[in-house]
Amino acid sequence: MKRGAIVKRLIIALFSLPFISNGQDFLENSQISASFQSDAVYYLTDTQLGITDSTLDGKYFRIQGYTEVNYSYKNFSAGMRFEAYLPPLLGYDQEYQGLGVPYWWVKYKNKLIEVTAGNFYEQFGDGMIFRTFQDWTLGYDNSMRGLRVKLTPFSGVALTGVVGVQRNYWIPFKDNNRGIVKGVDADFYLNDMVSSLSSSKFKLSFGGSFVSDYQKGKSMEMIIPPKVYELQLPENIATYGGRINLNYSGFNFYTEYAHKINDPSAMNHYIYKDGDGWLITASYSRKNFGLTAKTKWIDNMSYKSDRSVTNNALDINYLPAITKEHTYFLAAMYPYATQPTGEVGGSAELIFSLPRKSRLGGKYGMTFAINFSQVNNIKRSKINDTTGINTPGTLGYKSSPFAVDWKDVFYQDVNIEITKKFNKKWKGIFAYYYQTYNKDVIEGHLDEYGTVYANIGVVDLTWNITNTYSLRGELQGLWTGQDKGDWLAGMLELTISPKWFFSVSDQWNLGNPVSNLRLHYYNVSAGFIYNTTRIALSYGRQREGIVCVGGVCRYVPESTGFTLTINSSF
Amino acid sequence: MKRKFPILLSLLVFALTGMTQETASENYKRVPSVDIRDLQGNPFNTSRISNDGKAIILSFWATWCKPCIKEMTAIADEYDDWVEETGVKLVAVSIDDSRSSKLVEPLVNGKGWEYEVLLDPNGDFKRAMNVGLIPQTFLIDGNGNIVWQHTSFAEGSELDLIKLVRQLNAGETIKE
Amino acid sequence: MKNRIPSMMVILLVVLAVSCDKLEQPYASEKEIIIDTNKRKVLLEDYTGMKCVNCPAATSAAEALVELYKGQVILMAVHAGYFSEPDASGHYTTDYRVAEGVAWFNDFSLISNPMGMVSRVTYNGKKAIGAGSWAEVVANVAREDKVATIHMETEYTPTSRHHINTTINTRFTEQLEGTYHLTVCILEDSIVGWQKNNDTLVGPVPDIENYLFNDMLRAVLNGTYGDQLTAAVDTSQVYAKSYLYTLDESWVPEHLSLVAFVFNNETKEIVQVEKKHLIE
Repeated sequence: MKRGAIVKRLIIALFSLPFISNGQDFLENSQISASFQSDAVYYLTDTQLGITDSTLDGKYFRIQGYTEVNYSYKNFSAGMRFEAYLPPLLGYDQEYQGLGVPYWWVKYKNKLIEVTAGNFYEQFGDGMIFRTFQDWTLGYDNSMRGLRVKLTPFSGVALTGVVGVQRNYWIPFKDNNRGIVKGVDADFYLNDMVSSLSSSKFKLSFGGSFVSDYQKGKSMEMIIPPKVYELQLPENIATYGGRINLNYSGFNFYTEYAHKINDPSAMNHYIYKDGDGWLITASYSRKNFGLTAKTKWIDNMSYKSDRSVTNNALDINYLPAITKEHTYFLAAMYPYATQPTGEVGGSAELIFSLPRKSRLGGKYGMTFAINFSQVNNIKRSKINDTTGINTPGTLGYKSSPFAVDWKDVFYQDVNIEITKKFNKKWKGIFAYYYQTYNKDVIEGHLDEYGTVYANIGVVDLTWNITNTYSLRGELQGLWTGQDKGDWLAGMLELTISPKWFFSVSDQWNLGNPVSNLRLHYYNVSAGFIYNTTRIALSYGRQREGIVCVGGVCRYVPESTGFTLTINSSF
Repeated sequence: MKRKFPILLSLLVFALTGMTQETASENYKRVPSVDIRDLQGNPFNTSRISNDGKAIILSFWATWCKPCIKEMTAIADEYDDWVEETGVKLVAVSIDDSRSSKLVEPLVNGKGWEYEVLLDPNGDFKRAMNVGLIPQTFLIDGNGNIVWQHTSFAEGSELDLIKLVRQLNAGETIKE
Repeated sequence: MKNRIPSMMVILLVVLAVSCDKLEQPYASEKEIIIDTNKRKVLLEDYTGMKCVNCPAATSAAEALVELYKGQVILMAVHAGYFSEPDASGHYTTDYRVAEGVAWFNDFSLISNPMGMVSRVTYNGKKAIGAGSWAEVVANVAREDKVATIHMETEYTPTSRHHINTTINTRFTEQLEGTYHLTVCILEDSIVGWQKNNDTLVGPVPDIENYLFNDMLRAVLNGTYGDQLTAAVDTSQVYAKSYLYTLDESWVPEHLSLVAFVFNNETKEIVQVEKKHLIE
């Protein structure tokens, strides 16, 4: 036996010793759970879509997957995730190529304190100055590796401190290639702190946080053709924020403000202006009625732990979009993503149900959801007559909170969704959307495409044939005079509860201005579910588009092929 | 050492998997203790999920997840009868992040759902429960043991769910 | 535990106070460079493509560096990657790629355009360096002392227009470890063609019809990783290599120059580079 192997065995034995000595107790209190997912695609060349050997980089078979294991024993817990991308699927950042354990942690928790070492996900408030999270569908992970301590010194007070470096694909942390992030956060829940208020209907909580990113380097050289400049750099980039949450019966008010001190970066053209973010949400709801209104202001709030990065990586904060997230094929064709350098917007959503057995609602009732949102550019003015907006090495521009550039609309969405159950066998969803989408701004082009105005209609009907068999059909249309023109989409899905589903779908770009691009994006798929294991196989074409989850988006190129997805947990 | 640690950890975890597997049949998993939030945004520890010794359906969902909404709506149609008959409680954990977490309460009320709703805006509970895809539904017996779980929703599968609850109430062991 | 909280708070506040830098204007100052002939010369490779909209801005930044460092920085534009692949029809049908350039693009994992290498040094764990960091890395490399000198002599008789004979003499001034190779390339200036663009400061968007391509890699005389000079550096010796080459008839001799660089074959880092116009 090699020396290394002996050492490993010894270490394992040492680790297990305290447990083995008290084996029975150990087994009773140990819990293990795991989940697994694998996505594999065999890509095919497709002359109509223009997919050739070189678009696929000669790699036709691509597979990516992960396994996550969690373990707990009394107050201790630990976990890890193994990931492999061999190579990554098309549309995922090819930086993921490779395999390893990017995520592992150990944790101790009791009533007063919780300590995590290793990787962790954490969010302060709504995340405007700090949020680390992971999303497999999106291929996004900005987890912190370091230390997190959470304290509950008194009832109603929660304190959190974090320090660490963020994940950047597989690139190891060295040579100052990203900053060290540290942060503290405090939450105060008045009703838990003051015993006389504990049963009050009026609930108040507030919180505050401070985050700082340290990256070495007091200056850098920067080319602004035809000259080269030396820029002073802040080594510590600090942000702070506060929030208030109020509740009174069905009424809810939340506001969060965030401020960032000078942070010149590749995202903001190396300007030195402070950043601001402000979210305000108010809602009222009671049975069968809900109303929400939101507004937000984002001004120079991109915050990354490496100032030179511009891709979907190393974000310290999270700027939630206030627009509604759609899932129907065509309604999701033009999704909005937060513009971290600046945007101002508002949204409102009304949901109400006509109760069951009422005159208008019929036997099973009926639900309406009406939503409106609009996001514009913020109004910027020059810092002086001779300096252009966003000139590197200057303050960049001047702005004042909630000053809107009304002419520059990034996105607007008006939509209504009606959900109705007709009888025991039939139910349906009917939806209409009108979207205004500034393709250049949202997708980062420069005056190439302009703004798209789209009308979208969706009919989604479900027919429960028996308790086991049900058939669902979707018919969708998108009408626009811009971009790729009109689309028609249809989908038919048969489910045999609880184990099987089969579906066929097609998205047809019948209105493309270029006649030989009026293509069909067809797909057939079948799936099998056994408790928590799901296996799905599909064949078809993937339409070019943007996949967004929350405020982060990923571009997906066109492709054709067979896809096998397996996921499971126990 | 830095690089070796994850490897050691994984070895340890896998060694333990083997050890615990044998006893898994009699040792059900329980809901881990994770700090999340209630519908109003106040702290809520998941160890407080309870139903006076009766069964609990724990369901992970999100406002943007169509099949989840369908499942919740399908159950809502029957929920009153279920509660009356079996005493079951549905706890709906929304994994909406800060983009849409403020829409959860208006949606729940607007749809007229009478479930206990919790918010897991950064997926902490979701990860602790090893939930990959949503909807994912767990059935917890009166002693807090997770006796059954299922991913995805198919029309009609809510009927299977209530059948399982009835089996639990009848003192039968859930297999499959 | 509870008694300790106030003191912990004080420590925390101190930590927070030092975690915050507020800078004062002016943030930027114009930089001057003093060229020192005893310092190392820098090869800036600009991996570009005619269909890459961000490339003209990157190339213009590279040219600003060449201007600033007067002869200490040598630029080489290599067409490789997805955005350099010619279309079957339309404006972008010319193939400017060279096999060796494509091999470098793949071997050094440049992935996309615009992207570059600075004397093929490793920066943040990679050889591929984004345009935003070129100035930084060039400044670092240009500060280092010279370790070798390259002398180039090219025979070119205008009567036999297409034949050249070039001799490159390399002499190490430092006792370096490792095996050293020499690569010799031909670059051409002033090639006119279509280029996609999204920067209005550089030219019209989305296409520039008469874009001037300069310093474009046209040929490598001695293969992807050149010829070995020595496996054990001897500072007393002059390493000489000669190459006969036939120029492509479509190239304009007045626009051609030769670039020779010496690199460590293990790290591939270029220790010295020299450029000479074919016709002085």
